[in-house]
Amino acid sequence: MTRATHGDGAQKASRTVYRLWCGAIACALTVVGTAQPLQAAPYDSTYVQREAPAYVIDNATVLTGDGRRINAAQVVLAKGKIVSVGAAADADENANALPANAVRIDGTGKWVTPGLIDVHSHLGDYPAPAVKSTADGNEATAPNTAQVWAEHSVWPQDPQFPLALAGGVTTLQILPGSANLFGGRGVTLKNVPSRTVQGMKFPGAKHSLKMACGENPKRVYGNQGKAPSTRMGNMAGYRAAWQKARSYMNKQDLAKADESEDPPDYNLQLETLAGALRGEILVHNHCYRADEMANMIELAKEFGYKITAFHHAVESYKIADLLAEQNICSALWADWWGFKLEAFDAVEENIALVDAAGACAIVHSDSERGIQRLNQDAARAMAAGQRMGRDIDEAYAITWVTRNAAQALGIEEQTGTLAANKAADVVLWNGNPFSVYAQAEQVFIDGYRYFERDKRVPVTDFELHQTVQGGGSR
Amino acid sequence: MNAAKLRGAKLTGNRLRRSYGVLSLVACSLLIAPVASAAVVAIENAKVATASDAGIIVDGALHVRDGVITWVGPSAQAPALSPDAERIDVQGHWVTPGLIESHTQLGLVEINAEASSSDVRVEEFSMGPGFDVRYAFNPASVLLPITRAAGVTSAVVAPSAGNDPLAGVGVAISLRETLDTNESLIAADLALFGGMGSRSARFVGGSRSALMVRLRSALANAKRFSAARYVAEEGGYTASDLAALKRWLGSGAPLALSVNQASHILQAIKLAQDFKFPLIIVSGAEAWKVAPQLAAADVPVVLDAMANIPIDFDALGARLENAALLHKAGVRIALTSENTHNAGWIRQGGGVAVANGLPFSAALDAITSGPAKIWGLTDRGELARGKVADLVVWSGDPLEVTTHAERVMIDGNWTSLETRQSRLLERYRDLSNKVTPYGYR
Repeated sequence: MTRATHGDGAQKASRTVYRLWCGAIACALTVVGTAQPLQAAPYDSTYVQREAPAYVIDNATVLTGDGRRINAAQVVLAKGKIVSVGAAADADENANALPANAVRIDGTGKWVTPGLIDVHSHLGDYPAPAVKSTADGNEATAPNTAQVWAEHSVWPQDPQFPLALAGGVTTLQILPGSANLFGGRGVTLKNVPSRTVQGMKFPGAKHSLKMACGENPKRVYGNQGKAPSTRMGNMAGYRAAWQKARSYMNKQDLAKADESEDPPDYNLQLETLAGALRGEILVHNHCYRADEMANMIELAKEFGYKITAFHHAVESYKIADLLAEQNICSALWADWWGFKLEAFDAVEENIALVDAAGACAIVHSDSERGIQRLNQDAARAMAAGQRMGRDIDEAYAITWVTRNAAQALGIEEQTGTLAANKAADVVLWNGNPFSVYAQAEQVFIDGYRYFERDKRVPVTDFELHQTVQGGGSR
Repeated sequence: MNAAKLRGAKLTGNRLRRSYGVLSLVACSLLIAPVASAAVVAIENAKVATASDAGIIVDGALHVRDGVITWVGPSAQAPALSPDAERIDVQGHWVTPGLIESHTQLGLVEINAEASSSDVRVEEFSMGPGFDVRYAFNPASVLLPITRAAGVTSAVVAPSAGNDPLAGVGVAISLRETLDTNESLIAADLALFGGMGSRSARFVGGSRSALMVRLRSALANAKRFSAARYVAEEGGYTASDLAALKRWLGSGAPLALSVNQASHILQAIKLAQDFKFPLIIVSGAEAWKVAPQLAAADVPVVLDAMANIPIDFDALGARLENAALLHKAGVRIALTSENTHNAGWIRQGGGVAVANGLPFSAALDAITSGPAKIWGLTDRGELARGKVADLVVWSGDPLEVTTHAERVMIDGNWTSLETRQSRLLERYRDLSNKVTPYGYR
């Protein structure tokens, strides 16, 4: 069907099919189609939890992801879930209740954490090799592309996925880039090898809406002589779009309540924005400067939506009280700065300061390198907090890459902490993960062991017959 | 080939003798660099990582006078101190040489995305080997105090690829506090920088073969260059580029070439042998594949120990064991963060390299004495008698991500660790203060 864009298939396409195609994709930028999608949830997850034996990890240091540390603990995984996490004494009592034929793992000297979660990644959308033909992360052709979905660019054979797995990352959100005011929908993936992106989609996870403040949109469009070319132009762009989305949503609601009213023409772009207004799609907002974040908070009030998280947010520490009051997460780097002016005021204590104010703090990567070492960035942020006098430890700081990240993706009921009946998304580290020398030794997703360092690691199609293969040995 | 060794011997004589004008200023600046008062500073009760043959001295001490290290050794053997000595008990903490970042654009850029604040490369103007970053280096850059506070006391400042495979001449600088560029320079004409990546190939029509032909003919032309007989040719080098190339060839300074693919590294080694110049491989994602050849030719590698992404088709063999494998094969290595604003990440790179097989002491050397030797900065990089007193006291293991520089000494002076960032922290750490407006904090 896509050939129709080049003309050679258009005549053959039936009129009906063509209209559907037009309504669904090509005309979204400007025109609206009348056709509704045939499926309620197109592109839905086809992820299948794999069969796996039960595992019992004994005598490990466990960081639960909800702030607790248990020494010499036993962790039991079975049927994709965490069965129990407890001290050795409890483990002895439970000995009879252990699953039959469980694989025992000696955790002596090792540490266990929940699988790490990166709320800001472009893996698959900006894969390796980073060549022109793989740059699929920014639909930088119009300032509002709320109709595009990041998952439709994801290349599941990106060799960076296994590298992230080797860093203990079990769940990641893939976002569109930040060229646009509205970049499109983001998607939450499980970091599993798969032939299709649907096979990686986290079942039940909400979509997100990627928005971007500041320099990027105004630069990209200003350079083309188009709006927005200023920060005030950015704001006007958001307001016009939200205004339109509100009226779209109101028409839909009216039609639902009153059969005599026609629903508005189906519009992919407005579907995304209306979804955000309804709270069905979580707003993740790239925004660096404190004053701009404050503007975005006003914008959200003006049109009645909730900002789930500000991303990058190097100035969150300046308005940590406001962020706490508004219950908005900040997804942050430990110490990146200076690559552009809006990243000039970074401080290493940002995460610790945001957290101290009672606001939700998250360590994110936005980087194919950083995603391999989220634990080390959390360690740096923890150390910066300790230097400024905060009494925080590993058990506390691990929440920045586990529980808090799960909350921002709306999947905290399923994953992000080690508690009975949560998904068995677990990392076994060969030492304290807050040390630069520690490495993930085994990584479990829904109880299946996807990574065993130097023994069994996923190899993408791209890496076949190359000298270096698989996350563990790179 | 042992051109690199050859160059080491030539460094002080040949290179300085053959340089003109500004270099003699640099030589002078070394003499007028700020130094401490005559009193001895004694750093005691330290875990001293000497980055020299003396290894790690667990219960050690170190004496400094006039900006130079006068004694290092076990505490029990320390010579007596005069009463006016400043004695500092560092309570068993680690002391290392000041770190040396081997590949930065420090002092050339404030904000990467703001062209007006960047002097890292030449674009839209024909200039290759004649480009020299020394004039643009800004000792008052906002980055320098931040980099200093991270424990980096010296750095290589290199040009970035502009519009020619040969990007220009780089320098080595001290992060000492000064407003005078010439006082910052510890070596001008440090090396000629260039690249063999696909971006560099684009400057000469898009093929690595064209790039190699161009380099070979340029070097041959440079040898024969005479300003009086110069005839411009289309697409060829200008007289000033050729003059610079000729000067560099005669200086014994190395070519620092950014190359990733194994076969290209071998080509570079051959080029260096044919034209008899010392070579340093920068980046070197696949250097581990040709480690024996690099070792045999004594070609060192400056690498980012965290670069394991097959980022393009030149770097399909990128891996975290690169540093360890090179070291094991006897190749000299130095680490770079490849991130000018976060140059302190070389410590983390060292730690990651250790986690992937590099011995701890080799990792420490790769950010101190290793780069000092590779770049010919032989007055620093070790805690040893007679070396420049650039050192750092760390809160713990210097390669850990949870440790920080507690004290930084440059030229025998304790430097301030205050930065623009620490001022921002002070201003905003207490949001509950409703009395003093932020602008006055």
